[in-house]
Amino acid sequence: MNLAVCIGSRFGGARGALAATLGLSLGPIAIVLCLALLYEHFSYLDSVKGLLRGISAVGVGLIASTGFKMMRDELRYPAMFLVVALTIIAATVFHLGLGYVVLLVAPVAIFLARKKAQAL
Amino acid sequence: MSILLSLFLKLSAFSLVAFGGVNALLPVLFNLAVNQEHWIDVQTFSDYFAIAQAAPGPNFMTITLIGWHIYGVLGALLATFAIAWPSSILIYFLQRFIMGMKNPLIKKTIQYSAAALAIGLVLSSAWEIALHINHSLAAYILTIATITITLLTRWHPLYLIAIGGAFGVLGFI
Repeated sequence: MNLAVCIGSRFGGARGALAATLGLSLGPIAIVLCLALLYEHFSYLDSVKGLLRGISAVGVGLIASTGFKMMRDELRYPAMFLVVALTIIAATVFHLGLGYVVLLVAPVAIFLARKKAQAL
Repeated sequence: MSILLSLFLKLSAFSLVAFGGVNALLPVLFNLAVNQEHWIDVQTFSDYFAIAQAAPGPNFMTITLIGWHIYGVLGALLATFAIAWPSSILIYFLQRFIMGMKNPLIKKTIQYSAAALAIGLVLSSAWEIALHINHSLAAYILTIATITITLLTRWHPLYLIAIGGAFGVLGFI
């Protein structure tokens, strides 16, 4: 979605951004609502429940792997892993809200990112 | 009507913090939809999450489905619009601001620090959502297998979703 805004605005300014986002989302919304209707009718079936459990377990893995894939860039300057680790600890161990996580981690992140930018 | 207004306002506010992508903030969405507003229960959340993962399109479809649950097609459209407009406007100006920067060092610094934060948030998000939706050892094994396979191979995610779904239908998960 963010990508659609960026690319759309490159080609057609604010209008381009709007057109790109609309074009990208209307089809998928229609499809997902059809699936929702099916879900409403068949969610009592054990096989459908199992199907969704299987898919959601894979889905959460897919989300995690987007994070792991982005990590490849951090290998170029491993000190940045400290920022990743701090964020995870603040969010999952101490259950801080998003605002506090960002406030806490941002100074370290900016400091190290500057060093990374200078080093590379 | 008031529930539509509340849906619109709450999701718009969520969108403002979620401009880095909905996936990084799924726990926040979970908290909002399940614990605070009681729009849906845990099971429905994880089912909608699964449907949104399997369907093509942007990753905010879980929110479209939550809107649909509350107020049918109108709710779905409103929820989708609410989640999209604040972050889109923010990204639009942020992009222009960053593109217009002259100093490459500052540009890179912003880019690198945002990327590292995003990685941390996405991984935390995946972990916390896994705790909510995975109820068996088999589910965690499937999640870990998915991560391993996506990092080591170039399989299309749809194959993995199909395999996961098949295991689920067979009653393993």
